[in-house]
Amino acid sequence: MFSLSLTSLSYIIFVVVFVFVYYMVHRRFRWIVLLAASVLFFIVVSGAASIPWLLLGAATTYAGARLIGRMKKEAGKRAILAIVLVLVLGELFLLKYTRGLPFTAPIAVSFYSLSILGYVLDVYWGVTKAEENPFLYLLYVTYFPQMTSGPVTRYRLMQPQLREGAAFSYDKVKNGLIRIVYGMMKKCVIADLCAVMVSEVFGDTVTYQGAYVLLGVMLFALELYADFSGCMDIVLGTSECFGIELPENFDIPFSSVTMSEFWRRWHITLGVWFKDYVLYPLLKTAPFQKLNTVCVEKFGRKKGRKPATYLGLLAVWFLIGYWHGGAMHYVIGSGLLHWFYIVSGELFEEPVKKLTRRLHIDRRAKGYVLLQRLKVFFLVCSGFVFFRSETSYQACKMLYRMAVPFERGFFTGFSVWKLGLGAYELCFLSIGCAVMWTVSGFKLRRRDIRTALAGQHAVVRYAVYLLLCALVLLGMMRGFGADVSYFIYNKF
Amino acid sequence: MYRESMSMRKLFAKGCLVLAVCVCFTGVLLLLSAREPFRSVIAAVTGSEAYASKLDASGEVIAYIEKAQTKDESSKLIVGDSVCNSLFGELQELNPDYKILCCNKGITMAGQYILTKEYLDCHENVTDVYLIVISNSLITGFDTEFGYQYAVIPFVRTGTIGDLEERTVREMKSLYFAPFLKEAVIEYVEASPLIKKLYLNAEKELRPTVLQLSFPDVTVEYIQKMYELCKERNVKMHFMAPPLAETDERRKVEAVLREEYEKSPLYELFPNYYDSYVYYPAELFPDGIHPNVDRKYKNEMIRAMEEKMDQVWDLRLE
Amino acid sequence: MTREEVFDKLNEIFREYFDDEEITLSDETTADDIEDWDSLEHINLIVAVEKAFGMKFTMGEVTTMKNVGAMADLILERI
Repeated sequence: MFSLSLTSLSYIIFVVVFVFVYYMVHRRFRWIVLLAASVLFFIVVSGAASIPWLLLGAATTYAGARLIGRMKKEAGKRAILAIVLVLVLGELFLLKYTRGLPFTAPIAVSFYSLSILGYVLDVYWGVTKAEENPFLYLLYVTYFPQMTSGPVTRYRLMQPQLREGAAFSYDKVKNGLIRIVYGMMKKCVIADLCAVMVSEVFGDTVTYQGAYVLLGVMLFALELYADFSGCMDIVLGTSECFGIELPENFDIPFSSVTMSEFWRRWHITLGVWFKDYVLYPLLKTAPFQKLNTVCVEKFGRKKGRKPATYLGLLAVWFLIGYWHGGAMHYVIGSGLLHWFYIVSGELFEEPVKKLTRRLHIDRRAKGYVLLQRLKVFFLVCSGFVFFRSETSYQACKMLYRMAVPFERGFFTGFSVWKLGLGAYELCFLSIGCAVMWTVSGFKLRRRDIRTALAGQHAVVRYAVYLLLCALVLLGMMRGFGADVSYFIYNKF
Repeated sequence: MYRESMSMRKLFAKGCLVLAVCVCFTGVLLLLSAREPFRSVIAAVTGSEAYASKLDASGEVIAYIEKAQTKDESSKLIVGDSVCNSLFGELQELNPDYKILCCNKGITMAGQYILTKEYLDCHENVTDVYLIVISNSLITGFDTEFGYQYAVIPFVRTGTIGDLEERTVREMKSLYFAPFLKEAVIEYVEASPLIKKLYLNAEKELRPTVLQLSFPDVTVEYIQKMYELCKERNVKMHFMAPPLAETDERRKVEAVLREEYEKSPLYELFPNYYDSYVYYPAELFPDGIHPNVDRKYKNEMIRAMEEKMDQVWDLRLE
Repeated sequence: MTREEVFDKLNEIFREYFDDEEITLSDETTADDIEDWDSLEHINLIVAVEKAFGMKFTMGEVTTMKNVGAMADLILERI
């Protein structure tokens, strides 16, 4: 009957109620409150029918880690690790990438699978000890703010925080709540309004050509960023209310000047996970080291080290793409294309450096940086075309249409008004974007906007809070019951 | 510990303050959303424009009620649902001695009763009343999809809600929330697309309409009342079905409903309602319910209904 | 081997690896301090260190090593 989607009123109420209970009980028992909240959240969002799958994954890794912890012999540890990996990956594969299952898969299986795999590998590598308390471990797996869409967390950073519980902190709860509201603003004002225009462009492949497609793709980049980073703001804000620090997942990604920097700023925890648990182990394997030795002998020390790394990256990016959804357009748009961009960036780095030196271009000049950022933005957009399209073929068609009707449509005779939003809505969207832009500006200068705000006069402070709340309220009302046809009795 | 509880209190107080401000903001917003020039701005930003332009459901029904109340020389009344309307709707001009008021299933059988009662109150020498509906309309009671706009608002606005039983009004009040049956509130709902959108969607979320294969009280009660009313005024009442699409699904549903019908008190009053069913090839019904055929074919359908019910109408068909 | 000796040897490895004679390591040196030491070079660098000292880091150590000081401590534990 009621949903707990992150932008619903019921979610805020849910959080406020559990924050209250959390700080009401003794600190020793606070983790139990979180566990109760998390289990309840999971049941509401994912349905009770999917609980067995969640428990299966949690139990496998819990038991596997404990056995690994007790084993003395390396071979035994390795055997158990192999079994756990097969089971968890098998479950992930079955639930996420198989169509037409006769049962409900838990939501977010792709996210929590990464977290629990990382945990088992950490235990195997001796980075962390196996957890003894199964309920505490279950809390780590289901911790409700991050459960649905990340960030991908690490056990050794989460466990002490979850177990200890946090002392009440006025600033933390307040800042957490503000961040939740800010995240909601991003989602239900910016992302939702952009989505209207994006679906218009992507939905009508006949009318929209040239500049429209380009604009549609750029808007999709904005939509995706506002949606995903807004979601993360809600998640991290919620966790902050409980005094538990989660790793950041976004760091103003569109300020990046290279593609590899972009991936250190966009979906950070996913990139770090794949680096630590896939790329490094892969590069350390004998075949890769062998390749390395051969190449170093052939191409010299510096260049010779590259081929093995690029090959490893290829594997990782394939997996990242596949993880996003299994279909080919994900593999290309969220994987291989980025591998291509990153490797090209690496290869061209030296020549470009030389060229700029010869042309006396200051690489730190504002104009040059801006140009680099635009380059990254458009390269990223090209990947998003695949991400948004239903098939790789459709994506290619989109890209084609962007450039081909060059004589008409491209930057001429085009009107924003055709994209399904009226003047008032565009104003509304602009206000939301202006707020996001301001916050990003502070972040770019490494200043915390909330601290800056706290130094302002109370009137200014509350005006800002009210503006934020007003935007969210309007956005929520907008999102509530979008389908009017439901109430129209169709006459004939 | 003391400091902790103090700062908790501070947070709580400030939280309440922000909450209060938000509530006030929402209140003002809702009030302004019914007044120009704010109305269109707010409707645009909150994505509720469609609720202003596309939804004039209540006006449609009010027009029917007013037609029923308009005295003329007609002596026969046809009421029914939208399927009935697709057959008979166009025939009004050809048939001044008939009053054809086929509306839709949203008004429920209570609405059909209101139309009948208002018609009979304003006309003398009435001889026949025809109620022509398919079973989809019979299983429609007050719901959160169409009920508020097609029944509540027109009934209240025309004052005809007084024709209904106390019990029915109570049922409506508990389903739609009593304040929303007040004229002043309805005026606001009609004037503000935002309020309309929020209210209709909240109702839908809170009380989702579940389709059941049985007849709600309002159906049984008000067909009975129509029957009694007609009997009292010496008017003959006929109850029959318009054409149906021949599909397995339809046959299955009707088998269940027929059994239901035979158990209900309506069976005693109109034992041959289900015998009036005439099935036609499914491809004539693009949406499975409304026949999409030319006038000639429609007239044939009407003739077939006559034959089934064993009576001859003096309706002019062309 | 003393800690100092380990540091001297590490210094040598790093200079050779990055082709940069100006590198001087301290306990607090991290990847941020050396321009070419990015996440892609990390593993190869680790392998070079392993080879030079004739020991192995575990995968967990590779990903959790905070700075050169931590690296030196691990090496001292192993040899």
